[in-house]
Amino acid sequence: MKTSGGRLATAAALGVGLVLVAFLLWPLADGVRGAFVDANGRATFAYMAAVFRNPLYREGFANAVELALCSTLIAAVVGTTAAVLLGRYELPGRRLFAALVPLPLMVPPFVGAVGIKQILGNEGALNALLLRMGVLHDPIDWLRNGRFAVVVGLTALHLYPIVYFNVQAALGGLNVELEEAAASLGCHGWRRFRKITLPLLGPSLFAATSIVFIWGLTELGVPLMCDYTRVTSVQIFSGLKDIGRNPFVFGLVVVVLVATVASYAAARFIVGRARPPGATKGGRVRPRTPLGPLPALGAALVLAAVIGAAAAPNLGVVLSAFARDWYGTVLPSGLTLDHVRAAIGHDMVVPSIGNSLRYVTLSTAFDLVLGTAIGWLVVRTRTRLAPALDAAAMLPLAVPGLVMAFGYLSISREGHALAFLNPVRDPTALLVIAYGVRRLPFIVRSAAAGLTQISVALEEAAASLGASAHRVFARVTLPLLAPHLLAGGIFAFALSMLEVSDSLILAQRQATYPITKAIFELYALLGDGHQVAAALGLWAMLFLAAAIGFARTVLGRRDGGLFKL
Amino acid sequence: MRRALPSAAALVLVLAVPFVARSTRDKPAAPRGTETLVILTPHNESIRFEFGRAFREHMARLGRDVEIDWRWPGGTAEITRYLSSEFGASFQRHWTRDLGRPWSAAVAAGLSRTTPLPAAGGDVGDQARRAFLASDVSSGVDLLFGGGSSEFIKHARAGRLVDAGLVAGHPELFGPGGVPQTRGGETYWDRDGRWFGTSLSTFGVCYNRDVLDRLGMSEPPASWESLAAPALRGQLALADPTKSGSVGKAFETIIQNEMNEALVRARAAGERDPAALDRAATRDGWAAAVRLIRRIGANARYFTDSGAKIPLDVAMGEAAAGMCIDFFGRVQGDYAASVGRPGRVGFETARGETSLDADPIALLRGAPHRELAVRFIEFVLSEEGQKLWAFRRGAPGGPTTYTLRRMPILPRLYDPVFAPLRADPDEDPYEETGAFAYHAAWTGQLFSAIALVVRTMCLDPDAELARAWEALVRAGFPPQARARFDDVSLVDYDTVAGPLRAALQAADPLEEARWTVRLVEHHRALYREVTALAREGR
Repeated sequence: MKTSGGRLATAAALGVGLVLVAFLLWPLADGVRGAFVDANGRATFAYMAAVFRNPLYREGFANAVELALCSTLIAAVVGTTAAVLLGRYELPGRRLFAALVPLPLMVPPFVGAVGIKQILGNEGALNALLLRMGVLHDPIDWLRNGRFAVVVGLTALHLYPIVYFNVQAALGGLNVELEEAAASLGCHGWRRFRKITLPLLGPSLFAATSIVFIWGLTELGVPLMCDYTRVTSVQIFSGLKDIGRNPFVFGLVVVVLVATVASYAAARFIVGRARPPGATKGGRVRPRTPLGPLPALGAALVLAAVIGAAAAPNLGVVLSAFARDWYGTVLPSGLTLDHVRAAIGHDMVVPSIGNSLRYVTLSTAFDLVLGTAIGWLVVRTRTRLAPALDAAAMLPLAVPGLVMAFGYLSISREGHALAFLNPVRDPTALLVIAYGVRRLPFIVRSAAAGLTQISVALEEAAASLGASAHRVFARVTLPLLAPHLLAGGIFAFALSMLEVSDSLILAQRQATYPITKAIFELYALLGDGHQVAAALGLWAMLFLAAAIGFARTVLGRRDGGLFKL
Repeated sequence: MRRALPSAAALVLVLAVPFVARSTRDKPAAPRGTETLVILTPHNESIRFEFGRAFREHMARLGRDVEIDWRWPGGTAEITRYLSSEFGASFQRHWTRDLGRPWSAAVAAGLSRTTPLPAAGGDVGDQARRAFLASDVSSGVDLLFGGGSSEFIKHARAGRLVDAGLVAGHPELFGPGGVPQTRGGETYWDRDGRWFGTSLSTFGVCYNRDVLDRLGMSEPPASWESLAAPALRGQLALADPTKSGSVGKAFETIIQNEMNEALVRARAAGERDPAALDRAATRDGWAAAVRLIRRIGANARYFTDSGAKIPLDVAMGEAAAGMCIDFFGRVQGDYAASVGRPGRVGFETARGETSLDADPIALLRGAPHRELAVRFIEFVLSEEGQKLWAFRRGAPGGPTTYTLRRMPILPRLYDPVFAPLRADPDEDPYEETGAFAYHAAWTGQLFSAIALVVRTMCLDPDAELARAWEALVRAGFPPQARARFDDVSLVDYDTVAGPLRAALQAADPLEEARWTVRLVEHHRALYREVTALAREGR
């Protein structure tokens, strides 16, 4: 329901639009203009046409769509199931399971692949266990055999927490009276979930699956780790690394961008933007239902299998950080603190931690302000710019990090209007903007989903009692929106902390390195570099876990139990 | 708030650990230099640390307090884009502000040309390029340190590198007894003084003994031919020649090696006519090389742009063997031995089948600290600097923290007097490559074409190639299928050195794309046909 409009909305839309044009569309256009300019500087569409004529590119894109669809479907089922089980039922180990859910989003860059190879590799822990048990006689090449299915499975397990958190926040906001009314009319169990609960979860599920789909469409890390090359994201990455000029790679980026906007628009059209009837956030919360011993055990086993499998890279990183040698055995054959000492004692590491905290805190604050504004414009106003802003805010999910990073570098060169942001002198401003823009979709989707669930009647009631618009927002809307902003903010914070491309390109002097570039530096050391990098990765995971735990504890109290775990 | 205390304490504890660990270290913080040198490099932290430390100490002895600002944007591709972007922006300012001329797409296009300039006149692009070469526009960086020589040749042609003025002033380095200008067909320093090799490296094979045992291979692969063994299918880690000039060079070496062998066979058969011998080398040798590369490619687990990934995957048992730069293989082998069973990971140079590439340093146009930059180049090429590459950690004059295990370019360092101090006392690149003769006339102009052939034959149709190879091996190499698999007529020497090379020289991406699609689709169809024939036992 649209309640606001007028000058405030127009002014806000113009302000937000200006920020997006300056820090998203301009660097993006700069990054992909190679697709439309020939060697003599003349405009051309021939490169784009050549992209469509290339059978390998067409096949890669079809595979990308298939990968995105399959992994989104699995992530939606797994994430929703986990959120419902942990949010609605009393189970053994419930708190532990809930605490482990975010782990897949905390896998540090570079060493995450090493971690998973230590578990699933030829000489990894799983094969060693199966060989020792006599189940196998020769190791299985898990990451290579059945490659597409493996890529889909790993991508889904990497992304299901996005669905989990959004559904969990939505469950906390559902009005239990609707489900009770259905029950009183004889609608129970699965039917009630399908007919009542699931439609009420619609906006949050849509928000999550749209992010997961676009992420799956552009997922790079998992296909690269499994050496699955015939997919658009890997084709783009490979093209960007070509020695010579390759304009087609920018054409591919444009194709992915268009596909992203189109799929997002189509999803919105199909799902519809109407707020589901009766989704009155702020009502009574349903207490958890105790399960019988057998169903509880079954549910706990399912959760343990899924959450454990998804946390395999984290486990691999943790053990690598302490392993003297880990090869062909279930657990490391020797433990050492050398890697941890080398990592946290390195001259570069402490400054990089301070830098990352500064960049990421500021970028998350930037995201919260901008994302909430876009969410408000989309859900609560009739401004014509809203759909465009909404779609534009999703673009960062589809743009390869390297393209954006070089775009930022280009617009901040000496002689340009944004030269004062030149990262050679101090990359803080540009990194804050770069991190913020790249993680904006999380906050926008979270804010929009939250605002959709908050009944306008509550805001109208406050206004009718004489509260100003500002007071209504601060005392009614914001507290109800807080769980959603927290969920989105956690994603934005964690993923910015682990952001790679912008960090590598924009932080040029060692004194300005963020932690991801420090991990990359250590990772590149020969010999024990990977273990030393894993040790720093372990620190990053611990920090993120502690920060998320702290945020949940503090905000969980303030929001009156709506965001309890 | 009491409920938040445990999580707050955990957060503070995690944050405090690195700060406490740092404060308890004995090592003093790096001094802040009064002079700064800016160096762009793909070298990792160990090399940067040792050369940075040693140069600071060297300059301190001269009474100068120097700090190095290392810029490390990633690998070769990122460095090239960085320099292209920075010089482009800097020249745009020079062109519009200093020269007062309007900026246009044609001007920008002229700047990226690498073809020789006309003596005078030309279009606006030529004028822009002439202005760039006459200018002192700067990228803000002083030196480029590290990467394959082919990359430095390209940067020099683009005008980004300038003469450091060292060739004439250092006869001990560039005269008799110094570093040879060329050797085995490879260039070790630029005659115009724009870049200088500082160390040498070569490609070889690293292998995992356990995986080889499991595959039934008793001997480790030590030649390019041995990488084509069917037992290695899906178990070979390869580097991507389209991402690195050094890797491209390694593939060219495979081809040159087969050409040399074809030449020897023709001579042994009694052929004496120079034209016929040349034809035997370039046509028969080329075809044999392309077939060999196809079989090696058929075994590939992947083609990576990361040189460090291969020895790591081999050490972890993810691949049985891999194509690997010498010092990567040696260091990873040593590390695996130090923590696990000695001999688990080995490295072999493809002896007599490989060339030695220089790893250069160069002064960049418009270097803000030119005098200091030249001093750094002199230091790296001096005996003092060269010892850092080769000596063991802790050896007098050697590195203090990391043994780099690289081959210095200065021949004096291979004097027996230094042998006890070197990490690899048996290595002497100036003795070893005598067996390998590089003929620039055969493939010197085909560098890009070779990379495209490998890409369209092995990388892009990787799935179809692997399936065809698997079917062939399982069927016991039936004759018709094998003959089709060995058909390299579409990428024969005449085609590659003729129309394909011409298309690539035209520097038209669309023409290159047409060739790429044509070759990829040809190979995919060929491999599908081979698969079908093999499954039918034909």
